[in-house]
Amino acid sequence: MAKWGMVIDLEKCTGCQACSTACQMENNRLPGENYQDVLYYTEGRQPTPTLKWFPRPCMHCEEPSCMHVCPTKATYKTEDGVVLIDWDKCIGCKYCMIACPYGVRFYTDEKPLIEPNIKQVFKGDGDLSWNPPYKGPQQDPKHGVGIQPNGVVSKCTFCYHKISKAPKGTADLDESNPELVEYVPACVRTCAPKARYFGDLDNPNSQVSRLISDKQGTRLLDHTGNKPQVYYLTGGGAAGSAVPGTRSNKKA
Amino acid sequence: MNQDLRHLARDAAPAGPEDGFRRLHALGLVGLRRAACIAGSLPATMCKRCEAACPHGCIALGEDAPLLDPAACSGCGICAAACPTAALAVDGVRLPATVPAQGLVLNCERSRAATDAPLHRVACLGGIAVNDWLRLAIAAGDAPIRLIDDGACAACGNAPSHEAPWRAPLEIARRALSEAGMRADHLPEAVSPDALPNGNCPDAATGGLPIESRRRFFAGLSRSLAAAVTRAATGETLPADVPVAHGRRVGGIAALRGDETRLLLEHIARRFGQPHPRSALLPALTASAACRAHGACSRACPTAALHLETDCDDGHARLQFDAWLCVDCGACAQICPSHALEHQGRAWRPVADAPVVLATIEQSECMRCGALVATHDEEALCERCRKTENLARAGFALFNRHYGETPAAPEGP
Repeated sequence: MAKWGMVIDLEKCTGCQACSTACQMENNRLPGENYQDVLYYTEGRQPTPTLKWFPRPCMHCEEPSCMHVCPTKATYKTEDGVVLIDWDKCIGCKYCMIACPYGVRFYTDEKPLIEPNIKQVFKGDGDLSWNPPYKGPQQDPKHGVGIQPNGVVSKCTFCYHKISKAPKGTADLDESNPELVEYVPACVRTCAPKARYFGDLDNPNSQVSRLISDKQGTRLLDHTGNKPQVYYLTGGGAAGSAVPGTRSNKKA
Repeated sequence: MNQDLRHLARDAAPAGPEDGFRRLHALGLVGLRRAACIAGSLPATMCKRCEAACPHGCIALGEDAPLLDPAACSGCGICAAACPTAALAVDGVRLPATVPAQGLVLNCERSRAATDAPLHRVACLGGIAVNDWLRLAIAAGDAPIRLIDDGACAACGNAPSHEAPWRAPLEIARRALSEAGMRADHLPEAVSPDALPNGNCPDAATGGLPIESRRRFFAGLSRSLAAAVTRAATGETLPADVPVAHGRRVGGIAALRGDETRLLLEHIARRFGQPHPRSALLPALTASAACRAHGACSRACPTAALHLETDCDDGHARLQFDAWLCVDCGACAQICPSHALEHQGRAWRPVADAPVVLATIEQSECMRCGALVATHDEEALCERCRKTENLARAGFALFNRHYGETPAAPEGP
């Protein structure tokens, strides 16, 4: 089985948030609740502050702390290395949200970011938290895909409704390959500067594996022992400046 | 019966096919209402009351519900009497709703003890739960409720520990009734057959052990066969794909036995001029100062015995506990992220007038998003905002350090 992982090249990332928007549309998310966002950070003071950023999807950890604390085993790791939530089992206790060191889990009762509350405007049928006016993926509560029901926690699924349909043995899910383009996660497919790579971490010849070894891919908060399957490339060695903000400094 | 009880009885009645009792096994005698079973909603802290109670070891807990071995089951109903949420039921243990003026005598189907007093036979006296005794006591008024103790129960297959299975629930009911103000001579009691009007027991000569006559044996066999055939004909079986909506079930388990016990005891206590029983068999829960009002415990509680009130007028959060609703599963103590809860099993404890406030937590608004959070010693940030900030800080430090760079110092114009 594959072990899906993602590589995000911070040298290429422009912080445009296209990934967040694509995620929002693909997974029926509301503003402020999209499964992935971009964190911004200002360094230095006026008049020469530098803005830095990096995207934050779910890390789909090898040792997910969210999974270990779940009292109903609703959070689970699939054979292909993706961490998913079974909405039929989730009781909404939010313990996983406390346990996750990356803060990438969402609950339905969160404060709306914009007014009017979209959940009130497009009221959901039955258990569903809202009724999006556009068509999302097929509802699949066992894998936490579709419109989030009330009273459960949700998270990034690596677009499981897409990647699970990829042919077996695929090393790279690359949006430039017309045969595979439909199986590529929304954030990877939409990334304009092509800063994201998605593929099989277990396959040493996959593009993600080569990038991680060649360009010294790093993982966030490695000391927690969660072992994320999302790696960041920071430019490497001589090129120096790892973080996008300093890149503009060098050019100047 | 008072208003509360009728209301409770209506709530307990099956509302629809998925709420109603389904056979645990097509040929078994035990019915399960899955929506009321805790094992399905909280496998991590699985309630094993039925498995532990079954004298024949024929109930085992599967992934999300009890499983039954119909060949070993005797239909005694001891499992149903032990279930804290009344999720199990057995055909053989049905008690009358009304009690005649002379009172009621309860006996086992297999016992040959007889009396002239009105007699009601059940599959096993051990299948009579505490609440059943309380309900009978209410229905009887001043009439006596008696159980025939012919001395055979300790030797019965339903009592592997050689302790009559009806003794423990009856003792609990007796104590609860006397705490509610009932006089000792009115309590339900176990009596020998000789103490009853024209009572006798032909088995007394054989040491109390009932001899299964051939006729009784075949009658019993054909009865259960006939029941099985009826069930097969009416399709009353447990389908493999019974829908179980775990998520929506927790905190809303209906027809709680504990709540029913409270209503029954209060009804009895009012009859004796008390607002509620003096003490009752209740579990206890304590919270330490480590509580941070996460609310994980209250959301995980399968019966809503724990409730976290966050929007109190004074800006505090209060964790409330209703011991009557608690089913002793211990999920709250296990799940608490700050290990602040300590759970103690059932004991006779004084009854409080209102749900107990376990903890009062000071709250303040998160500087970033305005969400209410327990006031920590550090800055007032909610869990999510602090996590994001820490992640950003760690991330940028890592990306800089990894390639030997220090964060850029502010430069002049």
